[in-house]
Amino acid sequence: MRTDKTDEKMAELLERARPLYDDSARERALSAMARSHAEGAPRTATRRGKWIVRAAAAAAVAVLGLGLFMMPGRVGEPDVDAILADVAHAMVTADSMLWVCELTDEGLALSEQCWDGLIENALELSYNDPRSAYTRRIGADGLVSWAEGISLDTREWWLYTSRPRHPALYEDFLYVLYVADLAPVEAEMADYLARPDENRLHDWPYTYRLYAWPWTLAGGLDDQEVSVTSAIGDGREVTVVTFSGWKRVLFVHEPGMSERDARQVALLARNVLEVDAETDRLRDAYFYWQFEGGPEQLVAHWRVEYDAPMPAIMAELPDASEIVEATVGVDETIQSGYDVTRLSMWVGDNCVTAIGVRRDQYGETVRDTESTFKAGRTELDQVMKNMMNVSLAVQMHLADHENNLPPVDNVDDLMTVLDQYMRSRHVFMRPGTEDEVVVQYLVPLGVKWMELEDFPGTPIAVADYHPDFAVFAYADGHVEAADKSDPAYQDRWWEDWWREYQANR
Amino acid sequence: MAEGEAAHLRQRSEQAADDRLLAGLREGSAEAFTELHDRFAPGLHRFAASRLSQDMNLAEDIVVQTLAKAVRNIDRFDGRRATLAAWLYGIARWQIREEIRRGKRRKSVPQAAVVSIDAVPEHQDDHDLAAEAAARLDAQQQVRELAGLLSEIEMEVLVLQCVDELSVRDISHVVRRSERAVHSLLHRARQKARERLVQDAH
Repeated sequence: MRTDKTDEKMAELLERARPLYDDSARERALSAMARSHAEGAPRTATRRGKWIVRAAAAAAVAVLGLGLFMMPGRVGEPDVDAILADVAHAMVTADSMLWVCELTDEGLALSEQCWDGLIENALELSYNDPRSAYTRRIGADGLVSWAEGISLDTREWWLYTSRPRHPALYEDFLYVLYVADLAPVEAEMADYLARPDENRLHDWPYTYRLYAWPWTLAGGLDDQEVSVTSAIGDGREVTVVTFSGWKRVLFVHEPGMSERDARQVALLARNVLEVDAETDRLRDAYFYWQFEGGPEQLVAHWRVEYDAPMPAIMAELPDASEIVEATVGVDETIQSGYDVTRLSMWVGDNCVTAIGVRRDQYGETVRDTESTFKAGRTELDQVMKNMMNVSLAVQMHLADHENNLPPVDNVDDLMTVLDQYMRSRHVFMRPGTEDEVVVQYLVPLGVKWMELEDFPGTPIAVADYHPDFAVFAYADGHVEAADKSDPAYQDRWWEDWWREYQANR
Repeated sequence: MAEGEAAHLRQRSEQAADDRLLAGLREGSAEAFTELHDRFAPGLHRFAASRLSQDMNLAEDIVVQTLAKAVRNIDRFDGRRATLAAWLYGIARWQIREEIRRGKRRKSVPQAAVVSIDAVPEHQDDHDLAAEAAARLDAQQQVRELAGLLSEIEMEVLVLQCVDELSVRDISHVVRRSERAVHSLLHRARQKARERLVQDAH
């Protein structure tokens, strides 16, 4: 029963406005249903046959030593984005969060020989609430290798590291501890801490944060598959989301070895997220990997606590051989295409660490369903220009090659073919970066321009890497930006269109 | 009988009806097709019409496509994840979005108010017909204005709530947002719609 008067009025209005639905439509619907049934939802026997084929395929894959990762887990696939959005929402609306990450023996052994942002320490604790944020990493030897704390109550911001050349540090410091008075940056720091989307999702480990974006893009794994299942854990229903695919890891044999001397290895990776089905809260996350021919290894396990008090150990200052007083300051800058207010910590003329607070989100506490399209305007403008350049280059190629599209099916080859028509290869890269190719070429090999001409709305290339927007270059030469918070984008209609198009060719 | 108990009984009886219907659809029973159509087509039609500028033909197509697709994929329906209504509206929503996308490409002009002569009872005279057409045109104009006032997603959740009285849980399944997000969208949509509906009532 409707309890809201607005709903009642709205229902009346819709009823009055509705065009008539006549008998011919009814007949059409009934006959379409009968036809659909006759054409074929798989019935029991067929389905069983399908499972036999699938089981045989899985066995063959297992024999080849690729494990079960390659099995397509399609159950619940359309809901993955929604599940992850709900998980992120549950995080940003919690009063406080504590992350506990344990690295297993396997993970420790691997961390000795492998460089990866994810694998650094035996135990990492991370806590934040609207008044404070703390992180502490404890090595296999029990020593604290990294600790950082910000507190509006104690008015401190401090940082400790025993690791030289840490990428998060601007300079090379060893055994240092900074204590700073927050007064000059207190207002900005309060904004930063009060914004859980920036703060708490930041603590969602890197690999998992990638999956909070439309999962099919997930930059972390190649050829990714996802499956969703249900389980019971501690008497509660748990939604288990599993991502699996290839991951490239850079191996270095000694700390400090340059990436140029390292060896890149591909391995199968599996991420498992266990989400409380009722509260949408992520409870546990597991990261596994497997080298070709070897067994699968659990590398890391994250446990998440919500609305938990901060463990006292996190605010303890580690022992340090030297304490250096620091100063703090605020400046405005552009970082990754965003206008950012940067809170920086200084020792003399050296900026030792900084926190970037995106200016376009000042004053907002939870983004929820609001569009963030306005964010990253500078970067968006540049990507639009880049895509226009790509589009123009394709048109020029058509003119020179009797209306034939570039005879390629990937962006690397496209770059080579279009080289002479482009301002620079940088149009394929994220603005401000040197080597990250972010454009995807969408035209299947062999499709002729004439076939596309009937479809001016057909995208031929997309720069789709940013969490907030994607930019499409279309067959008729125009360029459009899409807001990723728009559900229409999330349906990824162009992929369906291409599948349909290819199937019908 | 306590209100909670009545609601529980109603829910159980709806569930049992859904189970029977699903079994019939899997078997390809003509009665089941008719029941599916008669139970859900009117709501789906109103939902589609509200999203497609009241284009009668397109809205009908959406209903036909949605029901056909549902029958084809009935084995994929999982009652633990969503109710039958939520599943159907989810399919319809996808079809509508696809239609809107195609429409943008075609740049078609949506058909405005159409009153089918065939559907008018015989005893109605021309005057009744004209009055009905005028009333419907007026209402359709109001819906279009509301659609302009609300965001796409706000309009969707409000219509879903009003057309078939879908629960917040069902709506969240249809629009793929969390229940909390749906609550907040509904609140915002009602606030925006209230003023306009009151204004129009005067």
